[in-house]
Amino acid sequence: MPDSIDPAKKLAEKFKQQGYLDQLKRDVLTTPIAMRENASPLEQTIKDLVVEVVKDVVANDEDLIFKNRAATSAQVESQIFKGGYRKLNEVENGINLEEFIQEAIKDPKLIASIKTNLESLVD
Amino acid sequence: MSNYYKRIPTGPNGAHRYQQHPPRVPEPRPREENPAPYSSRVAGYRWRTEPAPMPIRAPPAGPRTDNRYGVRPAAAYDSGPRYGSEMRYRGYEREDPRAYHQSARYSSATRRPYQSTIVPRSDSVSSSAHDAAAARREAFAAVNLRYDKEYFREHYHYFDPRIGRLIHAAEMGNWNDGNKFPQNGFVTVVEKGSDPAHPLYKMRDRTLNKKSTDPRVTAEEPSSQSRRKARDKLTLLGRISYDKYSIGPPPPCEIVVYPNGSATGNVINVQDVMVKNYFKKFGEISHFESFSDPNNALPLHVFLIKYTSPNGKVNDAAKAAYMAMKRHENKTCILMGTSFVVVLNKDDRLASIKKQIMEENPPPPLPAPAKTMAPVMSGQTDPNGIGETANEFSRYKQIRRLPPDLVKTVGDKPALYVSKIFASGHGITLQDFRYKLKNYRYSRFIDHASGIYIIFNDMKEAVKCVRRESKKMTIKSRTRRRAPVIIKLTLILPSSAETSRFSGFDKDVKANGVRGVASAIPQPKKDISYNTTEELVQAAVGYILRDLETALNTDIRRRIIGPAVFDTLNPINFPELMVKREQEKQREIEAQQKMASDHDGGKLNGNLLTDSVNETKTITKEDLDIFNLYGGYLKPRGGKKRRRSSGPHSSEKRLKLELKPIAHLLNEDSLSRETTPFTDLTSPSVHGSEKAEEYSSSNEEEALDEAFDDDFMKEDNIEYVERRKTETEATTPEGAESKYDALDETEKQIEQEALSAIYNPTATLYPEPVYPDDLFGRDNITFTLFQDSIKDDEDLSILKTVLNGGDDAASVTKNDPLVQYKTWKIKDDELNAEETEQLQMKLNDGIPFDPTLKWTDGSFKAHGFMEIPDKLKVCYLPHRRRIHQPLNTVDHHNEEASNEMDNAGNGTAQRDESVKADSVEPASVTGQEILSSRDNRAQNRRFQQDIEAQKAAIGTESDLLSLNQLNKRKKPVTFARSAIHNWGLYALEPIAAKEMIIEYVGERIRQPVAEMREMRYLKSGIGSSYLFRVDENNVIDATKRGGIARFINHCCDPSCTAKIIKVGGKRRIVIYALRDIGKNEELTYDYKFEREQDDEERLPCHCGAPTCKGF
Repeated sequence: MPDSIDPAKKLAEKFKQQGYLDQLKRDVLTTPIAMRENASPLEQTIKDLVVEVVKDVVANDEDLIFKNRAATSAQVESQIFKGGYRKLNEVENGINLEEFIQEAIKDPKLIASIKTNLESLVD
Repeated sequence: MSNYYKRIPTGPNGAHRYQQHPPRVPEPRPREENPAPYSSRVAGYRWRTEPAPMPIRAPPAGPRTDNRYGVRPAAAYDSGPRYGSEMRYRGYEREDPRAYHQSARYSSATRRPYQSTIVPRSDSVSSSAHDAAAARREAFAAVNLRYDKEYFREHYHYFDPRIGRLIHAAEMGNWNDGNKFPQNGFVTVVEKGSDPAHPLYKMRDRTLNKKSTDPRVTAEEPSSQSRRKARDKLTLLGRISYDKYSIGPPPPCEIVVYPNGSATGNVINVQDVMVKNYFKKFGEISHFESFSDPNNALPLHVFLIKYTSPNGKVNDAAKAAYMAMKRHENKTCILMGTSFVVVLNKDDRLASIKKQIMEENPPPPLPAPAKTMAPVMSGQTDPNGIGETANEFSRYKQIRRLPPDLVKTVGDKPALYVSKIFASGHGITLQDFRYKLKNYRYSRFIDHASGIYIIFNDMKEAVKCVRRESKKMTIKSRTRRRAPVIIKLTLILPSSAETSRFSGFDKDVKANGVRGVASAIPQPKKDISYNTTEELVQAAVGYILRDLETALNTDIRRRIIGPAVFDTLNPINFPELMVKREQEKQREIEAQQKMASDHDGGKLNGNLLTDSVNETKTITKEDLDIFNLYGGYLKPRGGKKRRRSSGPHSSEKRLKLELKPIAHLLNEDSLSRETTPFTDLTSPSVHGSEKAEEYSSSNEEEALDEAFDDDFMKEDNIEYVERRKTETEATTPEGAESKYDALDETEKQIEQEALSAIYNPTATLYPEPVYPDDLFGRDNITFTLFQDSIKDDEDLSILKTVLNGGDDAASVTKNDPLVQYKTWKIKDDELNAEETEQLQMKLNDGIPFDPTLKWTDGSFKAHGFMEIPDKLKVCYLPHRRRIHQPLNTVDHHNEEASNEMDNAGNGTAQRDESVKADSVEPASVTGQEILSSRDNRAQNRRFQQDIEAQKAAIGTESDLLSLNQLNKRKKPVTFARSAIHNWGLYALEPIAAKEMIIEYVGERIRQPVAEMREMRYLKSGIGSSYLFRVDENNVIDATKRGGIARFINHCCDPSCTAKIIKVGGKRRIVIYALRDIGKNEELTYDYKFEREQDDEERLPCHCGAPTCKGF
């Protein structure tokens, strides 16, 4: 039993139990990216960028595809995760994913919807 | 039904049982105007409020002869309502109220209330009474009786109040016609002196005038005066056993053992096992439980012991519990110096005891949670009410630190330390500290190699503990005669409390740059509260956004980026690279092939060694062979074909292609095309090898072509001879020779060699003949033997010389048909005889038939009856054969072979083959699987566990689940014919010594019964005794009913022994193996019969043991 009981945490847990957090996450990931072609959602955009990054990496070292795929994937992933997905921004038509996520989180509309849901739960 | 009885019982509707027609309902009377209220009618319905005119008197004494009223005596059956016994009195006829009761309900006619007064008999009534009766009659005369109609008079038997008698009285007969019965009635009494089983009853007149008395008051004094003194209290009844007919709860089978309140110091030393073992002596324990304090998990030392009984009888278990309690009722139970109280667990006593003990040892109260906590600065007073200021905490300098391996475990928590040397020196354990510090809120105990560490969550608690207990707490030493030793506790400050060199970089550095201990005090966590909902929502939003960010990052990495990278790295996505790779590979392969072909097609001229270089490109094991250093002449050339090519050049060529000194092989690169100097060709080693090669090849050729091409070889031989001269290395002619033998030898030659080997000289002291010469030392020389004795031509010639001396020798020729037939016949007979004997031996298990038993003359029967000794019976009775040999499973087949030899030799050795002959399928005979004893034991263990589990599940004891454990330990054995006597018991698998074999099962009878049965059996002709004594009073009788252990025979040198063991409280006879018993060996044990004194009564012993006593 925790020594301190934060009602806000409890409320947040309740919020998550209702599935609102997953909904928010889905909303963020399906946000269309304007600067991309066909305004594809964020998820697809990330996938496309990742493919391009991988292709660039393979182009630099062609032997990568003939090596152990799992180990190679881990190396490439770690390169992508570095610096807040810096590599995704360096690609042509890339996006600053970290910034995008921060903006999405601080979206007033998002916050407003969260508050609305929380208030309904408090009641 | 006779007219004697006309009274017919009526029902509520007026219908009677036997009536066939419904009663005629009489016409209702016309209603009266203004009838009297019902209540008044009802009130006086039966009982009058006025006193009865006539008192009730007892009936007059003496028989009644007639009705004083002029009415005939009452009918035999007075069917009047039995409102009182008076109705039965003759002459006293109560007015029947039933005449009115119906009409009282349904009729509206007013009538006078019925007077329920006894109409006295006229004979006893005085004149005044008589007048009263007459007056009454007059009164009733005016009454119009409702049912005074012909119909009712016919069917019913009324009392007519007007005339004062029953209307059909005259028609009734006297029940006491002939005065058979007393007039005043009678009572039946039991005649005195009659048999209590068949009492005789007699009638006795009622004495009406005799006043009845209360027999209890007038009872006579009891016949026998009791001299017992008056009891001051009730005597206790003997305990009534609880059975299925008992009402109420079963007697308690559980006891509760808890420490006596005064002695709590040493209770920690008492272990659960000790308690259990102590109370085991009262009975079998089915459940044992010890309880702990839920607050601090310390043992309460309260034990619940539940007894059970093997038979499942509650009484035994209750008795055990009662005895345990009773034993310690007056004196406490002392275990390990601690006194315990033992009580029966009745009325939930256990819960109350636990509650009481927990109340006596309350848990330490939790500190009141502070709403807000301010960090205590050094030098300030403690506003939080901890009790100690930071300064005071600061005085606890860090004398000791946690071991490095515990730092991570303990973390940033204070701890108390006790030296390991000290603790182990006095035998102090964690449990001791746990018990002593139970009032403190410790976190955990750690028993480390360096010492005992008591971890606290709270610094304050740790300090409090140190202040109160260090150098004050005592624990009894286990190594120094339980003397109490003072414990010193050392406080170990939390790791964050230590001042470090890097305090300047520490986040917790205060403004003055000093980091005090106070800051290391873990602040109690706040209970966060929000004033408004908005604040709450806002805070929750913060948490949610943080979690959302984390979730997004996690999702992106795991679900999106990761799989995308993995899928993208699939080579299929890069076909051009794949093609490129393929092309490169192809090119490489082509390049290699080209290189290889270039190497293969190397030229001799000027590049003689290039071939060898290419040849030795791949260095093989053969090339690294040390012998190659000096040439390859010892190299095996298996399967090499003949080379007809001649000339030294060819051999040189061959050499150069195949052989190379090792030094050059190692110095050369596989890909290089460098050539070695030509001088190597002329190196001595090469030359030597060349020569050797030539030698070997020429030698081979010589060997192969010897028969066909001598001319050809001559040239080589010349060369060979020449080169041989210059040869420096020795050669091995044997090698060549062996090669020659291997290549040219045929089967015939092999045989010849084998035969000729016999003639090889032997290096012995005395010359030995080629063939053994004891052939003619035998008595019977058969024809075949004679023929076999002729080994060679020499023998034949000698024989001829000997026989030619005879007269018949010339006349007999080889081609004589008679001779041929005779020889064939003799040989055939011999072969048949031999075969027959072999078959007979086989049938007889290798035991030859004794020749004394063979009757050559006449019929067997013609020789009359004769006793055949037992030893000879072995020849033809398989079950008589048995051997007393120790088990030797390893060399069993050798022993069999040796036994066969022995049997063939002297025929005295006996073979235990009887079981094989008799019990062909032992499994089917005994109906059991022959498992190894190990599997059997495991199976039995599992079975026993299953039964125990089922018993526990059922809860109640049941006989159905009782298991005869001895049955499961039984070894696979079977009965078969025995050489000792009739039938015997045999082991189906090898049994190790000291193992339990089987239980001797039979009827359990008492000693006198056993004696009686023994005599009976002897009389009935049962010569064998199957009575086995268990103890002085009990005997097991397996004569008529028993297990197969009854077939075990006696032997003076037994393989088994009988032991009496107690299983489930009962003594049983179990057969154990004294020594290792072999498969199919008969089991025997010493019966230990008393030797009869009389010679005639002695029974001979057929055990066949060397140490047999004979009787």
